[in-house]
Amino acid sequence: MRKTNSFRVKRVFACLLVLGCVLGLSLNGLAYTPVTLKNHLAKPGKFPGQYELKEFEKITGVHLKFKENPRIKELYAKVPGHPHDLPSVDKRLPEEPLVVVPVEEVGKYGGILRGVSHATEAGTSDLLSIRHVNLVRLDPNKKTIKPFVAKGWKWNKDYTEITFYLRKGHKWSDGKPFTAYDIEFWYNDLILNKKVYPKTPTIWTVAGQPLKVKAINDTTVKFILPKPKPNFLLYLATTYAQPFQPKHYLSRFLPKYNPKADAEAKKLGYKDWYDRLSKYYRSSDWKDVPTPLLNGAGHTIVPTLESYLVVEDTAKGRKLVPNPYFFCVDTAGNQLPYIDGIQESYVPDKEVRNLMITNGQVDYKAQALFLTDYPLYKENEKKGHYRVVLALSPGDLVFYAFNTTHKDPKKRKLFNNVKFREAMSLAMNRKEVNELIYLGQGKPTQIAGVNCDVVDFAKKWANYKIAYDPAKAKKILDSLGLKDVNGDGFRELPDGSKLTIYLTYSNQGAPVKMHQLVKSYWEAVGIKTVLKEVTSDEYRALANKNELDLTTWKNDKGSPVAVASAPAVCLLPIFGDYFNPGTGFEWATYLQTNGQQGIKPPQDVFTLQKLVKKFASYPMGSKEYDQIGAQIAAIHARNLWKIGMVGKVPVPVIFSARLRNVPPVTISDYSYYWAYSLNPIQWYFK
Amino acid sequence: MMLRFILQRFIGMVITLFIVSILVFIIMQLPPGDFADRYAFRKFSGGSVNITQQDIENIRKQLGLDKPQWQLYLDWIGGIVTRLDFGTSFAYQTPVIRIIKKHLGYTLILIFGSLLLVYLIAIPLGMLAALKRGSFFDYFISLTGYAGLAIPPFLFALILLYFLSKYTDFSIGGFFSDQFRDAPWTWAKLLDLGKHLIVPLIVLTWPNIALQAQTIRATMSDEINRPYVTAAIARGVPWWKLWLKYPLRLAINPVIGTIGFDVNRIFSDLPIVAIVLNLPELGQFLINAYLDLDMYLAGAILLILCFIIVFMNFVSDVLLACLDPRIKLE
Repeated sequence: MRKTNSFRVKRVFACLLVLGCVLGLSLNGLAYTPVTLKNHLAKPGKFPGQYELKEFEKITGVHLKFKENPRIKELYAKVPGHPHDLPSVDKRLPEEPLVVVPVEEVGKYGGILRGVSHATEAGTSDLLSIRHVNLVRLDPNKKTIKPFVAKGWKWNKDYTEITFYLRKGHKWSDGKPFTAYDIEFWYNDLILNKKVYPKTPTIWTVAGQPLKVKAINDTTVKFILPKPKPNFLLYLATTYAQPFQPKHYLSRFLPKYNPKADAEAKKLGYKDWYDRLSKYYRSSDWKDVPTPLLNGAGHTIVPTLESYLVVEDTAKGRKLVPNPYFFCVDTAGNQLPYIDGIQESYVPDKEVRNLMITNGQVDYKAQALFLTDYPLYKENEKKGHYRVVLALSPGDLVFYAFNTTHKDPKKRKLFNNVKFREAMSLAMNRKEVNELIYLGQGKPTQIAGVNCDVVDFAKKWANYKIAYDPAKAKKILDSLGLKDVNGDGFRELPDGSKLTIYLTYSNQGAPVKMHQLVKSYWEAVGIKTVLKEVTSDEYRALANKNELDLTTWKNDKGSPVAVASAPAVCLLPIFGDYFNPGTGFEWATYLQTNGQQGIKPPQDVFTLQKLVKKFASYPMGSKEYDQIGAQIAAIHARNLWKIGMVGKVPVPVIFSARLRNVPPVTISDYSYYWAYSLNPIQWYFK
Repeated sequence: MMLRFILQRFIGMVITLFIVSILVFIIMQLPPGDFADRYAFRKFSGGSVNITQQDIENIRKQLGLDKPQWQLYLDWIGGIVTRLDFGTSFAYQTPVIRIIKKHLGYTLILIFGSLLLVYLIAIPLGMLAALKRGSFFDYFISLTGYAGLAIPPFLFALILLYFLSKYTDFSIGGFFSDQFRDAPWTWAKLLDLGKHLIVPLIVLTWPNIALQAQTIRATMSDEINRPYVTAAIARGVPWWKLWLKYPLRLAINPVIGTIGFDVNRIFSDLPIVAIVLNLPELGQFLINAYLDLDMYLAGAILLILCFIIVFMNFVSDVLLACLDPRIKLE
């Protein structure tokens, strides 16, 4: 048959079509540039900066091939007590790994992150936060809570039950399966265990009562809260604790699972089964407690879900290597983390730490850095090959709180007068304090129970009575009957007796210079002030025994996360906690004993009680939360129980110049758990 | 007679140590709070975590600190005497013995190294200063000596550290540079240790050298003007034999008698210098243990250090008796 033109055309067309399809498909695979936050190559998923695997594949159309750190086998061989045969990366990752979007670009494997802290359990939180994991985490925008170990959650209507969905195939660092039963085990067999914790830790209770934790199946677990606590999720996203422990590893130490546990422990020389268990789980969810390597229990570490595993734990420092069973990958399929290890050295002296930083021997440091050292850090940036940035420390706003339930009835009457507190607030030159102590970088701010510089619903009170107006202060003091009758330059009480205010402080609570300045301001309006520096222990003991004229410290309980996690602490007497007390000690006694003891607080406190109860049942950032919060802030501001000084205090943060993929740092403090909300698992060294 | 002397001294040593142990314990209980308080404050204050008294009680019960103090002391002393069990460090959660074993060696190197260096340098310096009395050399020695005495040791250490870091590429602090820390012992590692020991030894020995050099200078000056020296020179005794055999032997008396004081001074300075220079030795652990109220660790280290002092006093007594037959042992 003669081949007509049309037939030839059809054949060529068909060939071209097939060729085109083949090319198209292969080029699609070749041309895939990994998504980063910088290049916006794909639209975001349900949560910013990350995707679930299925979500990622649907949005980008790419089927990820997983790759691993080429040195992972060599590094994992150093981990003591873990089996050393490693299956391929496909089998190590969960069936549904988390796909993390790199900030700038896909990183390279390699490098060691060097850090310094004070000692085994002191000053270590910023380094701990790099390898930390929890069910959820915060986005660097410090507002959005995202899934992490859990792939999702669901609240019930009134915030008394939350269900978490875990990842199928997620494994502990020793390759054994991680399931919801590990979470149940942690709460029911450790937290509630009376030998391990004689009293259930406050942080794992709501309104004084314990939670109930129930595993529904391998990947579903439910937390049942005795009272509504919508900010329980925020707490999980910002706490140092991890709500899971390896049941397969620890249960053999508990008599409940191993009837011979006590006998075995005694045979090994321990006092009882708890003595042995405490070497592996030390009645604390902290991850910097000595591992068995340091406390002598053996050459092994407890399995973990974190991104790094301890391989060396001595009195001089810790060394860690990446966890080959870590559950995250980047948008090119590389298993995270990128960095080959963490090396932590203990250096107790601040000046030596500063020397190390300026010498370029530290790759990341955030905790225990002070604004006064910022010029030193800035000067040496080039020499030390690092960069120093300033970020906000929301809890650094210092307060002065007069003792409204003072033992001396005359002082009690005076301190209880809100006009007196207003006068003392107006007498202070906050601008000068800002210049001299905070290098002019802060912003004078009032406290309305919460820190008005950072808590949204209290921002309108930030400038309340913070003007520097000694003339007005003097007029108010005159009107209170505080006149200088004997001509010594200082005012006496209305009945003529001497008035001296004793300002007792610890140098850990606020800069010492500030107290000296405050003394000068108050004496300038005629109130004699005597300063006394004591140790933190003494300050605490004196304050809690109601023996101080006024308390002064940083108002760390007034920062956003603290207010949301435990509103009663900063909003009701004693407006603080055991370590950082405020005022109104006898009011607190009255409330706790239902009126049997103590002093009856003013009506405002009872109003606050009702408001705080409602406030605690709404999640942070919701409309009701802000509305009720505004009412609460108004009451606090009017009463001025705590007088605020300077807020928006920046603190330095150090990063090595070679460290990449670090998102912009807006807040750096403990309440946001340092680097945990900075996506450290995708940092890398260029 | 020597034996009785030694026995007497030994019994005295034991009694002293016993009294010291009680004092140590009492001092530690004086400030308010205990390790549980300090620990809880360190870990939880400053954050958004809500800690109550109950949580601190948990820690206290777990550590066994809720028992009455006299019982804690008896448990501790009983453990040492019967089982050489110095207790457990709360901070490191490990037997105190382990910590001490690991770091005692470095402490001893620092203490005895300093001691040796002090005498090796101070004695010749003092002698020369006495011989060349009134010269520029003499005044120079005195001046630099007093400078070292006047500067507080931690400041001195920081200054040296600063200059070292500015003008060399030395790693800051510690006994070893990064690469040698975990490496097996080689000559290179020994050299590295030596390099890192320079600053601590300078800081620790300088004040003592100053003191002892002045002492030697004074006593030597006394001896040099004696008739027997003039007679010996006239007889033509070679100068080195002369100075070393006679005047020096007498002049050294006060120095040997005060070995105990030197040791005392060295390890009064040692903990702070060790903290500043980040030397992981017992002095640094002692200060940290005190700050934390980690009482078993602090108590044990203090006992050991006191033992060293008492022992060195004993040695100085014996040496003195050996060197100077005028001194009777009664």
